[in-house]
Amino acid sequence: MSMKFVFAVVAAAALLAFAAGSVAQDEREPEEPTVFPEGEYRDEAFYLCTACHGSDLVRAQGHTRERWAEVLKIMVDRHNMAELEGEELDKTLDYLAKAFPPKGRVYSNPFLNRRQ
Amino acid sequence: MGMRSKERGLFELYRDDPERADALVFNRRGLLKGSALAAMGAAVGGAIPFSGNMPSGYIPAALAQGAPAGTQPKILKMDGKADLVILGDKPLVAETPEHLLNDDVTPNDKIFIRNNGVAPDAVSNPDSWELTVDGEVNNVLKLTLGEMKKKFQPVTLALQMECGGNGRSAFEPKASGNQWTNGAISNARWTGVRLKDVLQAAGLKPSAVYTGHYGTDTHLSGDATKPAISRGVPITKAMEEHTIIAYAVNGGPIPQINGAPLRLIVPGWPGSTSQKWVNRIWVRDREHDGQGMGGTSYRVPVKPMVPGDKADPANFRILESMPVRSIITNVPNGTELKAGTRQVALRGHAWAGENTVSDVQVSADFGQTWTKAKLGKAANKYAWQTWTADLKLPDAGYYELWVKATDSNGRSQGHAPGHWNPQGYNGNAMHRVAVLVPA
Repeated sequence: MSMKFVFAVVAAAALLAFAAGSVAQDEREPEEPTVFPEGEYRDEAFYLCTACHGSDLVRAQGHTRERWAEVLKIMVDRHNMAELEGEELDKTLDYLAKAFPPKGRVYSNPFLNRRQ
Repeated sequence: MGMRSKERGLFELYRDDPERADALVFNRRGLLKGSALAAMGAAVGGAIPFSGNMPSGYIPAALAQGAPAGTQPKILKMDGKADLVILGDKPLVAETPEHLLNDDVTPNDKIFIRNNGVAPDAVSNPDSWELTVDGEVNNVLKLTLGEMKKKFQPVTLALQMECGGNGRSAFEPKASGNQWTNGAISNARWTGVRLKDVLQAAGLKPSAVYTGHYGTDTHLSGDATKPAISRGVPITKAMEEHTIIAYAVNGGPIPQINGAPLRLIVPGWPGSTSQKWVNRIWVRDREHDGQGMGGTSYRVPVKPMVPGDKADPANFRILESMPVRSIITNVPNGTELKAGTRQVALRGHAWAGENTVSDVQVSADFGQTWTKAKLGKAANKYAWQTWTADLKLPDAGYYELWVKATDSNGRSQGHAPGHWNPQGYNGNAMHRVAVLVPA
């Protein structure tokens, strides 16, 4: 493993949510399909997930299509989600993989924000 | 090109093409130089005195941390709770940022919230709450909380209670589940009775090997036959004298959202074994198979797996003791220190599941040199330990304060969490705090 890879992992791994200074009161978004990125099968995917849990849990994830398939399997096997088949499953996975792909590095610089 | 566009460009570049950004920002020897150093300094808002130590590809904590660009953390507004950071509304999950964990004993308002299902309503008469102990016992017990208080000796202990997924957000690729930073930890003083005393009153049969815990929260799907979560522990852990059935915390009632009127505290193990609103303990003749047992839930790989690869459940074992972890609690990430500051006094806590912490070290120069912290003793077994240390800051500029702990088995913390697993357990990367000393 190259050092560069090691440090890239280090850097990417350091994604920490934190409160920098004062934080504005959160204004809750309505829980409706538009909180998901646009795309074919968005509404179906939204209602499939939010039948049980909040959309924020979905939006916090970022997976490949293969790993989204694993996640859906856990939801079916353990959490009473209806089993999807054929085109329904394909379209759901296509949507999730496109809308919530593996997350890149996302940055929020406390000092930079404060000075702008 | 103005400062603003240069900064935004760096962020965008790292976000969109980190490999290329590394090539542009760092030279091949891995040292920041010339305009690249200036760009990085501008991006973090100050000069970087230890820039010569910054490894290639390394993203400063100030850049790497935080809610996704363009978003603010959602702050919990709940009576009796501090400004916890909401990770999810349904089920309600909220963590306590490191800088709110400075107290040696975590007050009720700073105990994190982790739900798997729908929390039950408060009961009007807590002493009438009933707990059933059945399964591999000689006498099935049905005890009210009132009877329990009379019959068994009370104990009060400061106990770590930590979600099994604490630290998950640091995994790469991202692991599934709530993206905890380090805030799924509390160290409150719990009062209750020993689970051991209750199990002995029921009389364990020789066939008793495991417990299965049940509470009154309901599954999110609305299926009344499905527990929100039902995990358990080996009988040896259940019989451990620090494993308690708690009815009070910090000298008063347990907050409803944290499991009132009765909950288990299984210290040092994943919080999911510390069943909230507990009303049944089923003593099993085999490993418990309730909701949240099996598969890759609360489990870690036996043989290390390729990060992001498909998991083979046969290669997984139950996560028992939580790993070693340390946090800086007196300096929030993103603190601008007073101009002229050349030394910073740090304070925080460290804990290690079932083990004790034997060493804590801090660094202000990206880990090139480490300073040993003064480490206090735990109030009792399974309580966290408080540490203090002073670090010198040679000049004005941008610093990162890093902390790492080592447990009594010699295990320490890495820069990145090891042993990737799909649901992200055992993640204990070092805590890093970015500070700025204005010029």
